Amino acid sequence: MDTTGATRMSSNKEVVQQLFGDYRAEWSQPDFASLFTPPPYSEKLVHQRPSFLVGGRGTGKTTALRSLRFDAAYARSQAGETGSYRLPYYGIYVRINKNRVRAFSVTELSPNDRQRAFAHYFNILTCIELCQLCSWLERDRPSGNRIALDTVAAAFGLHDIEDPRRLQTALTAGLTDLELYVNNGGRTTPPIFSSSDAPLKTFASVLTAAGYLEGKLLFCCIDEYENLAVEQQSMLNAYIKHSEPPLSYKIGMRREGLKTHHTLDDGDQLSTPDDYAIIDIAEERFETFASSVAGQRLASAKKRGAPVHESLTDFLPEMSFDEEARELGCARVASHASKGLEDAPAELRDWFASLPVTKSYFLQYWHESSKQPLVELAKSWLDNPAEWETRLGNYGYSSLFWLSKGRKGARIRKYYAGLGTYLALASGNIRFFLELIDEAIQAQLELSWDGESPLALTPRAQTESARLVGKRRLAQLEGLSEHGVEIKRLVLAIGKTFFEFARDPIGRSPEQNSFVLSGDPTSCATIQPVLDDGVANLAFEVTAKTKPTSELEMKDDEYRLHPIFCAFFEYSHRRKRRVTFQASSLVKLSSRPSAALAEMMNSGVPTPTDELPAQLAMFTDFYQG
Amino acid sequence: MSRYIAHDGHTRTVAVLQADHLEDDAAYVFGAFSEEHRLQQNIWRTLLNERPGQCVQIIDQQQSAIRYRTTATESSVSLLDYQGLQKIFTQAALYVDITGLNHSVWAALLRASLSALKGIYFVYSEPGAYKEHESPSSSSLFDLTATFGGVSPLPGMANLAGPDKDVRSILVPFLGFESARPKHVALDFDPQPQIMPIVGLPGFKADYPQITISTNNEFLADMRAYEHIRYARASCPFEAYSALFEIHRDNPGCFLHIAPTGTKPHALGAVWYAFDHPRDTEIIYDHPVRKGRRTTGLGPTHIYCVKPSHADI
Repeated sequence: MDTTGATRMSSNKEVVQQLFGDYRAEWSQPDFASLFTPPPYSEKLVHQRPSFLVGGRGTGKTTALRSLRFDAAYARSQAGETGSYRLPYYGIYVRINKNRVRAFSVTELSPNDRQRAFAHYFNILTCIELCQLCSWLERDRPSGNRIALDTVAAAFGLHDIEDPRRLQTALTAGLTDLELYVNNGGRTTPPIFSSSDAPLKTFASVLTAAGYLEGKLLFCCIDEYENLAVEQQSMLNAYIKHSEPPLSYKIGMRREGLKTHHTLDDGDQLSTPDDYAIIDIAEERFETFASSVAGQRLASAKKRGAPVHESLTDFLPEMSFDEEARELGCARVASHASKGLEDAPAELRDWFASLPVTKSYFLQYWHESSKQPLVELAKSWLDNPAEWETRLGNYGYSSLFWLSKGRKGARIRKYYAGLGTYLALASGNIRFFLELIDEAIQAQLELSWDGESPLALTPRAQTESARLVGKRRLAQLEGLSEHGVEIKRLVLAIGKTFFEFARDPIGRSPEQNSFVLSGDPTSCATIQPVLDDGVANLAFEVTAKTKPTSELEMKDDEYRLHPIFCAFFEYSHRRKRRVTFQASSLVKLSSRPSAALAEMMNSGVPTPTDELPAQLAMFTDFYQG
Repeated sequence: MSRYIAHDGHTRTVAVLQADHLEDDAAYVFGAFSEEHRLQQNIWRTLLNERPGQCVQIIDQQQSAIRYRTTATESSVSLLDYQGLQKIFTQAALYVDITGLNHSVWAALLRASLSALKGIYFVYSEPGAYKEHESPSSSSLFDLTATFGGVSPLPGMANLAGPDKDVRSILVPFLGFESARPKHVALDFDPQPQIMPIVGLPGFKADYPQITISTNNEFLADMRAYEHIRYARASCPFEAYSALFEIHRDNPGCFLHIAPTGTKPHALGAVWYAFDHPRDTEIIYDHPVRKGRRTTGLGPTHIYCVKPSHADI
């Protein structure tokens, strides 16, 4: 190969290596313009009505809210999406920083002073952002009218200030005064507190009067609302309830992040649909959005000359049932069944030999499952082919997990490949989806790619990526919240239980991978906050129960591990059947996990340590503890 | 390059703390005696008998207040009450045994005493060993924490402004034996800032640095922080202070988010550094609730001369 060819191939590899690698970094302004894909709920989000955007970390809510900020929206308009003069809104963005807002909770101010101090803090943050909007408007979108902020300044007790830059400086100094007051528990001279939402409303009026908001809305985007204490949410709930156009609030939070519907006035509740709309990201056509995001990346690589498939289904090829069964060793199992039929009539042996191995292995599976003689089962199949086709349809996928049972050291015991599978594993989380593809690319480059033929990610690379991303997510769990360590122990135990069910489905319903909780009220009350926190942090997913199984079940909630863990624990990502776990068993995980696991499995023998997949064997101390 | 050590040489390390290691005319502040061996030091019982008027025993540690006992009174004071805390110390010098005190408590005592007293000594006793976890679910070998109070500022140390938008942020976690803690602090950032972890080297024991690294391997790899690790002696607040100073020196203009989740001497250096640099640092702390009997035995005791800076103990 000549030097030019080698350089081109190396450059192609670099392009694809970085194609999906930006999921963990903040986008620069030009990147925002070029990479941002409007989410399916865009139109709902920019509606005049206040809205709560609900989604876990990685679902894209922060990106969506930041995209509304005036400079990001402008950058997108410059990239050709729409002319900024036609943008029907300007937005500001405030992220609630846990470490800072909790300063108001650890101080010993009276409840009333605490409320006033917090409102003042929030007003300063938002008005600093609005000052930046003013500076930007005067510089980049001049209307010819000066924005005089003396009335806004007066709302903070500041006089002789009209200029946005000077007001911003004064407000920043005001933060320091407030900090001194809070840090000393109110023992210093109190600053002049601004009153509730007056500064924001005044700001909106000033911008309107200056001609900048003609026909436009002013969005105040507040991210990570769940970090606020109940009393702080009550305060901002009142802001939201009493907001009027052009001002509207766009709130980002995790599931269950709205801790109270109260506002400051007793009996005056924040309610939907009267006061706000809820946009649940998980219910907003994730498949279309994720495919569009990924498709855009592929198109951009293609534009830069890198040979990749532009079609996502070609880029992430699926694996058929037959291919997967073959790769997982069905021929070995079929041959075992064939030996078991050595004494059977020739007609039966001939019939069995005529079956493809991707079907004939199933006879052995059913033999071990039902404990019925192999010959009888073979006769049954020969006589009732339709019945066995149905059986294969019902249990075939489940049997794939069993195929590699006992194969010590098998590199892959179940494949997770294809666009549909990746979308299911990501389950509404765009960051997981991009991370899965990114790691699959890295795995594929390690395995093989010449840099010239169109890049497609093999099922092996996709599976290795799915396992790695699951492993990484598991490692992150303990850091996700104050309950992180408890959540991780739950995930490890429940994942292992479903692994055992999948590996040894004999005598069980196929694909059991979700659970409901049952048991004594004390244990339920102990474990419920951990489960709730796990749901908020995307360790678990919860849905209303489909069919009742007993009256003892404490809630109509059915849980499953987030599907991103399926490849790590090697069980089915398809939402199928549920089991019941005793809450007391889950509580026991904190002190005696091995005893808890025995209760959760109910029956059956756990996989010997030397047969565990390497990624699970790492946790032997926990499983045997 | 030789390291700049703040107040170099101001640590005295002894096998067993005795009265003649301490100045006579001083106030002695220490926590409640508990089931951990290192929290049953005879020295404080002796001083309670021999110099009772100089002893202040903190008998209850709350989120933002303490209850303490002297010969004259049993009283409460807010950790945000700068002057109220200063009234506890009547002598010119102060010894604070931080071994059994929460970060909130000793940080408030440091804040109140720094400007008020001429002589400030903090005392810390290493444990003989940490309790091992019987069923570890991660690379953390030791079973140290019952639960967490959650991230919130140390009393009196809130930084409400944080860094300006165009200022570069660096997260500096002090690493210890609990990998969940720096992870938790780091995951609160979105997007991730650059991470420059500090590891205790040399450690309390020869193998502790290795255990620290392996415990935090996932965090270091995931955050791409291996190449940015810095080191400071695990028992030395002055080296911890200097490590932060060096990070600031090497990254001029940056804002440091400091997570004191490693050893207590490191936390002392970190909090002290934050006091000295209030506008371009913030402390992020997760307030662990420690398990009883999490350590056994008693290691060496260190007396850190925080003030005067020219002292030679």
